[in-house]
This record gives sequence, structure tokens and C-alpha cells, in this order.
Amino acid sequence: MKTLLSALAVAAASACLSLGAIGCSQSTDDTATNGGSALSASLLPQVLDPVPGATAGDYYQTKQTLRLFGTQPAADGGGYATFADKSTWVTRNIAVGDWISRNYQLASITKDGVTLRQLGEPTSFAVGKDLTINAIFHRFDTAAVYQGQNVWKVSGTNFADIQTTYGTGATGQDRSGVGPTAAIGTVSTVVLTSVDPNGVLAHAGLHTSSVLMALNGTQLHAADLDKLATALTKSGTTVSLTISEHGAVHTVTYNID
Amino acid sequence: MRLKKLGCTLVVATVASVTVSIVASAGTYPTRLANAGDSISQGWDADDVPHSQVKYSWVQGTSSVIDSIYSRYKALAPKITQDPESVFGAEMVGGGDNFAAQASRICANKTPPQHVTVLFGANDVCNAAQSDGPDPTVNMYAPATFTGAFDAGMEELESCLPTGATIEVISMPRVDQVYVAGMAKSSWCPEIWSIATVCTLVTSEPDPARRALIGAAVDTYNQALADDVAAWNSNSNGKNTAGLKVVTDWKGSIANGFTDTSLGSHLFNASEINTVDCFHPNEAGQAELACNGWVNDPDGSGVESACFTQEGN
Repeated sequence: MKTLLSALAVAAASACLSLGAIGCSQSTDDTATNGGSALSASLLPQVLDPVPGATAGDYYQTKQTLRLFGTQPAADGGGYATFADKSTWVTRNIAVGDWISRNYQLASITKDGVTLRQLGEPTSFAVGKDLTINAIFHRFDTAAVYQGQNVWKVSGTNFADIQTTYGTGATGQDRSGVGPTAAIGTVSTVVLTSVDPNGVLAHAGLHTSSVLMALNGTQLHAADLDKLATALTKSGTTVSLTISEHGAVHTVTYNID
Repeated sequence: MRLKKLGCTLVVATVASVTVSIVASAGTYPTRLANAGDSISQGWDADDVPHSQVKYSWVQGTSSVIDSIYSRYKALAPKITQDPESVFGAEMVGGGDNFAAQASRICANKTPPQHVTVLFGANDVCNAAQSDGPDPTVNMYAPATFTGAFDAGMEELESCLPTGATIEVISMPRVDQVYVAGMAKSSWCPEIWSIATVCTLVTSEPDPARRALIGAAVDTYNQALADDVAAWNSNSNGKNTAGLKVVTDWKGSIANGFTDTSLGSHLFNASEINTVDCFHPNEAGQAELACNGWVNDPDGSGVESACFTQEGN
């Protein structure tokens, strides 16, 4: 399967309407800003992949219009489908069995379309068409929203809670040697050797084999990954992460609310 | 067939520029340009210095060495402005900087352009996961997914561009041919490809027959895109109510005898790629892309001059 994009990047941010077991101290106004609404407690037992300790107040529901760009069925019945959120056009490749939102799961795919399962009710969705769903998300799902051109908007509070619940969620290995480009010369980098999709770094868009070079201009080491995760929880700050990808060095900017 | 050296590519580009300026002088030119694209349009590593080198970009560049689309229009309409939206690593389909996302940013600007240039696709291919199975392209997007994403971007532009605006869609390069060029360039190239994981779908594929399958998949993308462009231009898809003029450089594949008639059918050579990542066009390559973009632009010459050369082989 193609690399999954880590950002859900729906046009909704965190919505903490009540203090949950894992804590939530911000942004009751986020719900109004982003058009979401609180989740009925009666739906809580039905959410897919529930976050440990989460309450109904940690979830929100919002209208989301998806465009099914296409499908890539596999011979074994698996494969993936490519969905775009029409409000941002950010795409995700969703594998059969994975969820689109906390109440929609990709049940099956063909070359012509997909079937989504919502709380047990299947919904057909053809390639090239739009479908508006009442999507349920946990506030962690949109703790970081990609805004394009290597800039992310981050909820520091939600990242702090992710760190508390799941941790940094990555291990890395120091590497030193020839740089990603000849002109850069010898450099030291951290290669992520494992990334927990629930952890802070996965939510920040990093994945296994990501190559990290510097945090706010200071060289990173594998032992610094917790420091990076903590930096991403500091509301009111900006974090610059220098990475190497596909033969190029980039600076990714996280603006932390 | 490889051609003999034809001389400096920059000279070729300059000659093309002079020719088209004469032809285009009778037209009414846009006052604002925009582009959507990836690292190629960012002039990535073009001057052998890592990073975006936009002044050497074929489309938005300001260097006289390149004679970009922007420069050529500026020579005709000095007050012209531009809105470059291309992003390193952008795909037609995936991510947050895809064509549709960039198109929405173009539309978000107060002054919509009358001319948009589009070049995507290489990252859609290069980012696909490798497969050990018989088909190395199995993890690539289906062509319908690729054109579906193109349609989404076009819908965005159609919603904001003025009536009669032009969208020029450039075909994507045959990355398997870039591999050939890199192998011819230096023994350093396969080393840096491995270290920096540059387009591993092809650079880590030792079997030429399997690389050719990847190249054929690129042809399929380019043909599907050209068919879609034709549908938009003729409004046979019923979506072009703004009367947009939609054109492409693609005329056909290498296999069908259209070698070097478009970016997608160009046989890259060692002298056209940079020495940093051995994959992106250098200044000479960018100048050729600018020439190709211009001769296929409705405001350009329309003459298929020798934009692409085979020097250096």
C-alpha cells in the first residue's frame, strides 16, 4: 500500500466540550469555528478504534464532503482507495478495513468504487463522485492539520494529551555519513526505525524511515525524540524541523496554538 | 535513435524564444500567470546547489539562462505578474499540496490569472511503493485516479479563472529515462540515489525490463491526461462552462514514434540533469523545458522546434 498520509486534515480542529479522563483544557470555541458539534454520549460505544479513557466530549461530529479520486484493488481482496477532503483537497489512501472517520470504515473496493460501512450500514460510493458524511472524529485525529507548503497547524494541548496517552511513539537511530546531497557533505541524522501511528510524531506527519536532521536549527540525535515531541506541545510557539526526504532537505514548520 | 550534438541547449532555447516572440506579437497577452507543479517547477537543484532555485525554473524563473515562460511573457507584456504555487514533492493525486490544493490557492488570490501552467506526475510515480511481484507498477495509482485528481484541480480553476483563460498541461517525464541519464552521468549517481532514496521505484530496480514497465505506465498516465485535457478543451465532459482553453504538450509516446516531442517523450541525457541528486533537470534541462512549454503555449510559436536535444551522450 502506498504511504499513508498522517494528517487527517479535515476542516475541523479539536473540540473539547467537557473535561475527559485524559484532560482537555482548551477550545470549546473550536467547535463553533470549525462547524463541528459534540458527540452524543449514546454514540460513544459505537466509535471505531476508541481512544483509551476518552469520553463523548473528546469526540466531535462534522459534515465532511469527500471526493473518491480512485481505487487500487488488490487481487487478494485488499487494496486501497484514495479519498480527498474537498475543503482542503488533502488526500488519504485508505486500506480495506481501515477507518475514514471514527464512524466510517472502508468495507470493500472495486475498480469502480467502494463500500463504506457506517455503524454497520453499508454506503456505496463511486469513483469520481462526492459524498457528504456526518463524520465523527476524536480531537487527537486533527491535533495537527497540514496547511500546505510544509506548514502544520498544531494544537499544543491535544499534542500534550497524545503524549500523555501514547507517548512520543517513535524510535530512531543515529546515522552519520555522507549527506543526502553531495553539496551538503557529511552530516549526522536520525532515521526513525519505528513509528506508532497513535504517538506524537506520527500525528506530526513523520513515519518510519523519516530522516530528521535538526530541531529549531540544532542537530538532533535519536535520544532527542522525546524533546521533539515535547516541543510540539508548547502552545504559542513555532517549531522548525529540518528533515531529509527524497534527496532533499526541507524545513517543516509547526505553528502551535 | 540518439542524435549527434546539436550545440548548446541554451542557444536552442534562445532561438525558439525569438521565433515565438514574432508570432505572438499580434496577440493579447495575459497580465497574470500562475503555475501548479512540483520540484521541477521549483528549479530544484538546477544550478547544482541543493534546494529550490526558482530563478532557474522553466516556468517561473527570472534567469536569462533559462528564458522561462514567465520571462517570455514579460518580454511581451512587461507589467505581467505571476503567482507560483508549485511545491517540492507535490503529487497530482496525493498529499496536501496536490494539484487541486494548489489550484484552490490560485483561486484564493484576489487577482485570478489568465494563464496557468500545470506539471505534475513524477512524484505520483516515484512515491509508489516497490513491489517484488511480477508487476513493478502494481502500487501506482490507477490512471483513473490520476485523471480524477486532475479533474478536481481543473474544477477548482474552472470556478475562478476568467472566460477564455488558458491552462497548459505539461506531460510528466519518463523517470526510467532519467535513470538512464543518471547512470550515464556518473558513478556517483546510483550512490546518491541509494543514500538519499531518490525515486526508488526506478533507481532501486535493477531489471531494465521492469523499469520499462514503469516507463510504459508513465506513458499511460500521459495519454490518459492528454485525453482528459482534450475533453476539457472541447467541453465534451460538460465541465468547461468558462470556456477555458486547455492544451498539452503530449503528442504521443516514444514507443509510438514521438520521441522528444514533449517532456513525456523526452529521452533525457546526462547533460540535462544536475550533479546533486542526478535526477532533476539542471539549467540546460530547465531551458529545454521552458522551450517546450512555450512552443506548446497558444501564445507561443506553435512550432515544434528542437527544444530537446541529445547532446552529451
